[in-house]
Amino acid sequence: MGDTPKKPGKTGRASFGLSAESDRVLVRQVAEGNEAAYAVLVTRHTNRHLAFAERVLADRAEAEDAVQEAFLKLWSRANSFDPAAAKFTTWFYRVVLNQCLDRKRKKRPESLPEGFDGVDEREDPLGAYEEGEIASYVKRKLDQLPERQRYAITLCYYEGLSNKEAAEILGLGVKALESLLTRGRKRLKKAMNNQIRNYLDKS
Amino acid sequence: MTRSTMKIERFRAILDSYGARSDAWPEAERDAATALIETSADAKNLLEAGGALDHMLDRVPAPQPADDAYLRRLAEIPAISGHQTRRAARGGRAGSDDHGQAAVLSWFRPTGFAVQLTGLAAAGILGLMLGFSNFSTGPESIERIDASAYLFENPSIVADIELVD
Repeated sequence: MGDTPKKPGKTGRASFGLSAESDRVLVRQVAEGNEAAYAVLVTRHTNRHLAFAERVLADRAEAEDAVQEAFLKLWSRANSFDPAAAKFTTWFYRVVLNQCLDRKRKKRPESLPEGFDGVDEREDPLGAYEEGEIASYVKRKLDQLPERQRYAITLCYYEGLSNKEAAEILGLGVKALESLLTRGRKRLKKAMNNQIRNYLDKS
Repeated sequence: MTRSTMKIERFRAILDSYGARSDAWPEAERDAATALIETSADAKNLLEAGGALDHMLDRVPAPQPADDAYLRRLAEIPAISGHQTRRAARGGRAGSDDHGQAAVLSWFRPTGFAVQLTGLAAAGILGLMLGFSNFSTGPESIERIDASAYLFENPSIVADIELVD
């Protein structure tokens, strides 16, 4: 896939063939005002970044707004992307994460739900849940992690990014990222100790 | 790192950080870790135990993909924002880009759209009422125009007024 510049289509009429172009070429064309190139990037990247934003914000509507703002930034400031410094996806994850963090800062702290950190008295709390509730249970434990540990697990485990990419997005070195991952997973294991023991006994 | 050089301590550290799925392990160490599992019973045991947390994490379903309406909203950003935000980003006054973005985003949100429509309607009614009640010109007229403009820019005020009513 070459990086040869092509004449941009201002209105999206010149979209033929753009879907095969690399992100790097498309972003350069977006910087020149090519709406068709922008549309290809929307189609290509919305779902993964929306999923990431939803995991960070734990709120679908907020995540949609954050990703919308990120795409608006892409349209208005595509020339701030430096292809020599990062892959487009890494750069855009950062844009999305920054939008998410802005939203979290602006949001008033909510009062914690009653019994949010209470100990589940059941012998096998997870076994007693309906299948559909297990996901909520685990998700709640994830949401209770310190933020940076949660972002590290989200990027590496759920988004499937390499440790280098995840470290770059979080502005950390790889060692620091590994430390966050280790602490996060250790905390989760402790929080779900009974369920993990049950799983190991059954397997 | 070659296939034979990984020590059990490093393997344990990889499991602690990345879990038991080999595709989540650092690419440069994947082959060495796989080789260790083939030759070490301790490594195998660690791998089995390490998979329990992954099993729990996998219970959380992936977020739903974007629906068509949302994708259309994103695709319409250039048409809605025009080239104003691009001009501002290229050297407009400081902060104008953010202001432009905020304006564009508020039109995208269903609630923002409804509030702005309400604002337009209320400002129009206010203008008519003021026009019928007093035809004089001079400083007062300027105040009325300012008030209408203020309502245009602050539709939330209109919403408050409606709530009182």
